[in-house]
Amino acid sequence: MTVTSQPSRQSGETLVRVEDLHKHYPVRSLRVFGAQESAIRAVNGVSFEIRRGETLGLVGESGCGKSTTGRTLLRLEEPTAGHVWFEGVDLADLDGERMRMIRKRMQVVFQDSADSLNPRMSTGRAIAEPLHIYEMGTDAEIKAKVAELMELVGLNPAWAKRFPHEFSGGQRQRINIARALAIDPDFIVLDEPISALDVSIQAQVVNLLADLQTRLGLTYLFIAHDLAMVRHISDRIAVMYLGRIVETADANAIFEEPLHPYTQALISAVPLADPKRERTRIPIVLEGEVPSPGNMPPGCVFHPRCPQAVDRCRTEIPEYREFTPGRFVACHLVDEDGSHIIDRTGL
Amino acid sequence: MPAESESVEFGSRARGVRKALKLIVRDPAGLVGLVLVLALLIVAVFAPQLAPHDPLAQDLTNAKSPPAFSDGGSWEYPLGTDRLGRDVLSRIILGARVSVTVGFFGAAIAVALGMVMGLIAGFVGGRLDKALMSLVDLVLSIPYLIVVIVVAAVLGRSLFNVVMLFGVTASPLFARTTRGEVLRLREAGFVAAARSTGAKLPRILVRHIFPNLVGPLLTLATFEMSAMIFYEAGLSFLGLSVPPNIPSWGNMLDSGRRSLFTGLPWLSIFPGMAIALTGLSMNLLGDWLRDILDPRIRRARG
Amino acid sequence: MITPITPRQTARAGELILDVVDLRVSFDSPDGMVHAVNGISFELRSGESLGVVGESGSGKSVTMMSLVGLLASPPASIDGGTAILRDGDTAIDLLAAGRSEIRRIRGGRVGFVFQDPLSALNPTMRVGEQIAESVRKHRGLEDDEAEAETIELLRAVGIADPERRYRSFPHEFSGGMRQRVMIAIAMAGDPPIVIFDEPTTALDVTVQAQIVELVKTRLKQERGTAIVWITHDLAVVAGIADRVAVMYGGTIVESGPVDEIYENPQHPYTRGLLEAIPSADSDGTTRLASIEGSPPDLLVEPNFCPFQPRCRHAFDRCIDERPLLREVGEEHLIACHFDIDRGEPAR
Repeated sequence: MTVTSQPSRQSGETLVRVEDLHKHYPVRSLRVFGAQESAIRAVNGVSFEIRRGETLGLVGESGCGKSTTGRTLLRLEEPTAGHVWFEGVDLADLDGERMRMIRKRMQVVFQDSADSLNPRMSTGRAIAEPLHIYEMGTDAEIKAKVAELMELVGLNPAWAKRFPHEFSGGQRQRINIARALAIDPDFIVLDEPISALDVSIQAQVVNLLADLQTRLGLTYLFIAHDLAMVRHISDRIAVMYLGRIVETADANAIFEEPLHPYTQALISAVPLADPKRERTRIPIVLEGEVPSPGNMPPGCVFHPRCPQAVDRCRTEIPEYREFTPGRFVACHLVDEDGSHIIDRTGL
Repeated sequence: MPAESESVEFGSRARGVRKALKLIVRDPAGLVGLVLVLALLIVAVFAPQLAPHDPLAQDLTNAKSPPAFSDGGSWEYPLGTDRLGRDVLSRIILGARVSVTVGFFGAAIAVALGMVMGLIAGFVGGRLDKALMSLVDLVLSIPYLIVVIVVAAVLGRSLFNVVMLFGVTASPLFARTTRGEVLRLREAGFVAAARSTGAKLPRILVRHIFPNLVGPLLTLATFEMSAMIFYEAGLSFLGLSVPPNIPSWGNMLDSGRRSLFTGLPWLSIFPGMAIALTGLSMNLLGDWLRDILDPRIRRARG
Repeated sequence: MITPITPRQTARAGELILDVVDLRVSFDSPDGMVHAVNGISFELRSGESLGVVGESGSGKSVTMMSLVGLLASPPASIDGGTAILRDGDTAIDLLAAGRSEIRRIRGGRVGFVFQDPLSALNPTMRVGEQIAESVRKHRGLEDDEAEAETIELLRAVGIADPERRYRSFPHEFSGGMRQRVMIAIAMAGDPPIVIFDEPTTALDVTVQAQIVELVKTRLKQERGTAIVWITHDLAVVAGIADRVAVMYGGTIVESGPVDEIYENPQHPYTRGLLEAIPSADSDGTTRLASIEGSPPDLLVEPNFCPFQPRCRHAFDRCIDERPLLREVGEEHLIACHFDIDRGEPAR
């Protein structure tokens, strides 16, 4: 086991900026009188910034909208409202051709490694595809680049002729990563890249991602639900609930001093691989389940399950504000100086 | 970077070849189907060369002669002759042309028409999709036999009419299948990955959609071909397909019908066997195709 | 609080109730014979919780399913071993029992909770009815009494408004609630043993915390039920198990009391697993130690240590001879030829 310290992340320039992003899916309800058009607000006002070279972890449970945020950011789906800036350019302003140029710099790796690969396309061709799309080199040059990429992600280049079903899940994810790196992007959205893999393989892939980030100066948006893994790889973490970000802070701060009651419950729910501590700690167990995004509670979306809710929470949506530099929370119960007015139960 | 240990590697080259061979050996029925269908194609293409006699030539002195292995038969006419002394074997060989033409071109038209409709419906969606699917439903609801009779009566009997009719009436199946696959593939991760890289629609169609359509459509086409051959035989039998001067298995059955129990059974048996064997071999081929084109993908590890 | 209808006087706490010896299971597959379980032995005592940890292909699920007759018999075949279930004064070998016997035991003496409640529950039958079916069968109650008992069970597993929910269908419930229903069905017969097969893998972490809490209080504490919890998640097991068995390639490679396993793991695989998972309180400066290589090929007959291809400490004995379980501490067993603390082959 080697111990390496992460290079200190200087605050570089902002690479990606998202402001008040919304993605709503209209639902026509079956009413006879006055056909109502309600909407599923999958992403309901999300804002964050990612600096060059850093990893922002985006966490939350099912239905929180984290995957939709990633897809909307990449323009795989059109946002209902809000802005996305890449290197200062508002993506909404871009026409087809200029958008394609930006696409070269943003790539994605999805969760389902098998679904992400065309079952009828050989590995080499799959990795080469981005290079062909942008006509980056002769056939021979592209072949060489593919071999280089495969080695970079730890795959034997001789396997380029094989098809996806001949590989294991972990290897397929490496192929997906190689493909994402093919045209030298700056920014990669990783949407649950390791959730479907075995534990021992997860570590391999996470290490690979970390190495590549250092070597190639990549910027990541790491979407996941495995909090321990997210902490390990992220510099900063944003916690989502029902389409909104409830808290954003440094990775360590989120875990050691969560301010938002949902973050506290989420951190508390993560089991520790330490039986003694598991026995002694008292977890915060939330009541009930996440309401459906089509049926959101008024006021603060978390208030029905919040152990600390007060009257104000039922009626007023809390503002997502920056309390201390880099620390954002959307909660009525957080003081001006960023400390919580109510003690959190033992972690 | 840790390299994957070769000893647990799945799917090395040698193993791939061995696997393909195993598939053929394990499914001899499929192999039989393949061989028979190929034989049929060869017979149909080279019919005039292969037929020992002119199928239309009448040899009244040898009329009603039984097949070679029965009493009174001779090897000059191996499968016997009909009432007008025409060689049954040669007529069957020529009849293969009719069946293969109908099966092959009919299926081709159905696939082409259906695939185009399905692609448009699946990709464009919305009202165009609904309109196309309504059209498909309309075609499906056509009472096929009545239309055939009307067409035969109004436009005359011809192979061309039959092929067009079959092609159109079979296209809904392909349209529906294509549309379903397109809808599924649109959501697939690899299509999203291609889009996010900036691939444009033509590329996605050619590289990602088509290759994944080939499997299901090819398998379906094989089964449709078999069905069409049966239908054509039925139409011929009813006299609604090719004109009577062109031998087809169906009209051979029709003329043989009268003599089935009056001493000339071979006039019905051999054309009947040809139809059955063709249908069987195409179905075997279709099953085999379905197996090799699909589970190889599914039998994945990891 | 419900008092169990049949107080468990049949086994005193600590008494051995399940004794599995040298279980072997194989599958006939198109590629050859898959050696899924290769000589597993373990014990379960009354009231104790056993955590069975392993990744995909370890054989953990197959082992448990074979005990309750849930394997389809071709292609699976039980090639050897005994599994003695002690039920008061009687003892019965589960592997040799007839079908009607197994049906009686399933639900009545051994409950089973699956990973995916959506497929385990009948979608066309109301939830209450499915629970009541089990209650009637295993406790011999009449319809009215069974319904009342079912409502109590629903309440016990934390489903609000149980009288109304009795008439709901599975698809009207969320994932967490469906899992609670599964637990209610497992509890219906008040069995002394309940086996959980990856029950929370598909659930959000806060819901997982709720389910774990439920199992700990209602089953473990209130009823003294013995629990087998199968999972790949070492962290969850730390919070719920008294003893842990780690499986790899169809064998138990290490077993012992939970504290021992986590503080003093002796098998290279266990150590590798523990080092591969980031702790929720690690700060991301250490690199995750991954286990090289891929999951084992079960088509090969295991006359050697299944972990050998990936083991840093492997030596020639590991290839020639399958290691048997040996004691390395109090009730702490490992199947390994190497002494990891001393850094040399054992004995």
